[in-house]
Amino acid sequence: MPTPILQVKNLRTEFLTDGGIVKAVDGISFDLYPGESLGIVGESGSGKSITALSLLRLVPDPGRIVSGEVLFRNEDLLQISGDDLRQIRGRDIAMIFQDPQSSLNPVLKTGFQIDEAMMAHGKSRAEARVHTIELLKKVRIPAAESRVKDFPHQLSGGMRQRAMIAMGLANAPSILIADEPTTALDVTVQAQILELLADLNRELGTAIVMITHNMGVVAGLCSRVIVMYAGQIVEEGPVDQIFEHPQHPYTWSLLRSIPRVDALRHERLRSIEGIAPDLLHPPSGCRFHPRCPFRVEKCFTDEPKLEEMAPNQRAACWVTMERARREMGADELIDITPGAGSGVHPGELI
Amino acid sequence: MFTRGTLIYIGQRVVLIAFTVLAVSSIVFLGIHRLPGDALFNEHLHGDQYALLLHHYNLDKPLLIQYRDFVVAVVTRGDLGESLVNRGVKITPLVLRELGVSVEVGGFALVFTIGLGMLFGVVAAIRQNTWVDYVLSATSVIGYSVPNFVLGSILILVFAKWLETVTNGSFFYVLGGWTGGIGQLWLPAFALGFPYASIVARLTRASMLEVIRQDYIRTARAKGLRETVVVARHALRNALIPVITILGPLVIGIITGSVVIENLFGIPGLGKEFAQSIQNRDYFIVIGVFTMYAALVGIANLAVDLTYVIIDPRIRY
Amino acid sequence: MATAAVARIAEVSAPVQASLWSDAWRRLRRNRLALMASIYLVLLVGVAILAIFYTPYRMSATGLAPDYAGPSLAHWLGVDNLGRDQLSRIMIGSQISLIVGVGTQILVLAVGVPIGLLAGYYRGWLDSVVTFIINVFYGIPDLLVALILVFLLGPSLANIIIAIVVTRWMDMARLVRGQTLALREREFVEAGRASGAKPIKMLFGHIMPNALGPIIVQATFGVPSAILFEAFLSFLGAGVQAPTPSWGSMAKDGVDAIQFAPHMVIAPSIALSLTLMAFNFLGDGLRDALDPRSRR
Repeated sequence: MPTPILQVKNLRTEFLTDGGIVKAVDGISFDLYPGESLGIVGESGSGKSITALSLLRLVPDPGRIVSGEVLFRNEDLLQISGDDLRQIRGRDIAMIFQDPQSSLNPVLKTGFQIDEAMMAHGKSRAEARVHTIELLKKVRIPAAESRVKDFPHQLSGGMRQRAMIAMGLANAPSILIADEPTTALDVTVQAQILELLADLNRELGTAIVMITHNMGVVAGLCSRVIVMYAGQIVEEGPVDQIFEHPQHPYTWSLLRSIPRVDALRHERLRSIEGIAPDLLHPPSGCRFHPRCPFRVEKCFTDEPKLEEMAPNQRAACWVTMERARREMGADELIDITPGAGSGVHPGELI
Repeated sequence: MFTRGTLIYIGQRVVLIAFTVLAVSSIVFLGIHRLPGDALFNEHLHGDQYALLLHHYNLDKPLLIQYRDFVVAVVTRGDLGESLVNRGVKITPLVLRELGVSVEVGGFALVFTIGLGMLFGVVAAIRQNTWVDYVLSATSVIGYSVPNFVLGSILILVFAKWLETVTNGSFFYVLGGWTGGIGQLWLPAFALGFPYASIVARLTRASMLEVIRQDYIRTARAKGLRETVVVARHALRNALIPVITILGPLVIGIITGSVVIENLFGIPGLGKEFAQSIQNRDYFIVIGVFTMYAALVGIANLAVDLTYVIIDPRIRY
Repeated sequence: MATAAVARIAEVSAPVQASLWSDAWRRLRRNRLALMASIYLVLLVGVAILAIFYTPYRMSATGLAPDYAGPSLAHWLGVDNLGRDQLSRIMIGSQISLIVGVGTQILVLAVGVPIGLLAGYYRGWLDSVVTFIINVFYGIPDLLVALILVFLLGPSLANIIIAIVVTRWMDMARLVRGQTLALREREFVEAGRASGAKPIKMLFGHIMPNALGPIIVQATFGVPSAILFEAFLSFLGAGVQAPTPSWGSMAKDGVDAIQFAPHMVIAPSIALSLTLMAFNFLGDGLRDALDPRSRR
């Protein structure tokens, strides 16, 4: 096993609001290996974006990184000085964001904003400009030489996001963090961007951390995936394994909720019952238990820890899908209602 | 930046300005022309002398003829006529000279307003909710609540009377004297500009606070840029946009305020001339000054609209 | 039975209306600066009313003490260049300022609001005319026009008020027009029209109340603006004539004597500054209270 390029240990990030403390990220640990593409998946409020921002200390007010370590090349990014951190940002670890319209400065030319990424780390304006044009070509923006002089509002959504990717890759970073880069784009453009990212990952060997709520994106791009819920990791492992044999009920529910082209017409769309958890007052025990179809008594009181369920696959659950299948008729469930597993008979419509 | 569309726009505006100036001076001309007898009247002239003067100023002709001659003179020769009170003094060169003075004082005030105002606003925004912020915010409300002549008098008290560093009253202005100019000009420019600087500071602060929260600022930081660069290069230009919005009314406010300030400090500019000639009933000068003001305001508004184009690339005419 | 149901519905819907204003009121009360400003203004009005009946000395009485004498027990704020008591004149001056400030705004509301409503609601030729007027006069410095007007009509309190209103109604009309344009597209207007409400009722019963917030704020800021304007006019000699004291003309006299009698300029200056500040703070407070989205 090669050494990880990034090691996150017990990261905790909180937000101090009027109503109390919101534990957006509550004890996350994971490793990232060189050149791999890791997906972090979860619904809104799961803490995935904040995790990404915490890695580079970009968490906005009133958020604070409370504890934990982010080890990159033997340095804890959470402890190093501001100047050292700035060296790493944009050069060794780059980040691109969700909405390229708002993430690019409207009053500065696009080419300049990409030049800037290099100028901030030593290149001269002239050198940077040459490289910028190359980058734009690499991200498949046509007529790159004239596009550099355009302002962001003169580009289409897809081109803007490609420009952002170019900005992120400008200094050939070891890690590229992509925070929902395709969410704000059309479906067709989404596919192109993902393809681009996959190609770049292969060609340049840049590790990609892909934050998304869309399992389809993960399936297409990532080799490993982390599933987050309510600020914690509930499952992690290789993508193929997880997709075929999810161990955590939440992962299982997510996968089930993807509408399928081959579904029978009368089948209802499957959703996860309940609403997103209140992070000010998270549920006791397992945070997913209010919405879990397979919960047992222990789930109400004790918080499960991540355990290895299969080679390289870990989940935090007292029940696990194996048991749910064996004892609770999980595969026969048409609809998901919390606690339904305890009394459902195979084939019964709920 | 200056596309064909923009040039056409400028052309349209210039025509509009010319039209407005003409309209305004016509209104003033026709409006107060029922009274011009007063200025000459005050000198208690009689008989032939009076008739001679009336003829000299075309005042014995019917109103419409006078108006026609006036418009022709202005449009073809730029000749605004002659002073009623000070015979033989041509108005056009007089008001042009005074326009230069007023523009210089006003220009200083404007630089001061925007420079100091934005500086205070940015600092208050960066140090939000600290004592710096509170002090600056309180100062700004006081700033635009104190009438400019009050501020001016206090400054005169402090600097002219007690410190005796500046002369007042007998303001001797040397056109083109640069260093001497600043020495004398900074006091009235400060009094004129400070109230508006306060308004600019408030607006800049609010605007800056919003801009700092934007996503593109986060992107800039993620690239590894230093915070000073982030603020100066990324934030500031965007924060400037709402300030430009009020630049038009701001310039008009400075023009208005300059009337009072020039009178206070005895500066021989348009404002002082205006007040004086109204008092003297020298109506031709009044018309001339008003015409200059109308042109000045029109050009200032156009300049502001063009500044928009320079700062915000999304705006194109 | 139907009436009972209607009454219950009315009960339920009424509090929504009331709570918008009480909500704003609560927010305003918490704003300490606005509260202090209001207290000051109440005191000011008190002084102005008091001055109708009593001032330490008659405002026009000259020679009460040696000319230019400074503050003393007999004359708390000293006397001016003609030996008139400053304190009495400041008190009378408060009347002038309040009359000008509030009076102009009342007239501006009376002229600007209807015109704005009509222009925004009916559009068409009326709107074009109004917009044209507003745009033409937008670029002309109001002080200059007011100066000319005052000299044409003769300086007096009434003429000053007229001059200010003539130059300022357009801002209010433009604001109201903008509000009307936005509001007329809203559903409740369509509903009202569909149920056959008369246009006047629409305008004054439905649209205007909803535009009231910005209107109130604009009017509140208009008061110090008008007072300042009057002070400017007086300073230039176009204000109320002697012996009636306005803070602006008192300041002018004070400036003339600034070398040897600085006390003359200080009293009216402070009075002006405090009053303007108070109205501005109040306006700020009202704006923050009425628009929940604007935060410091």
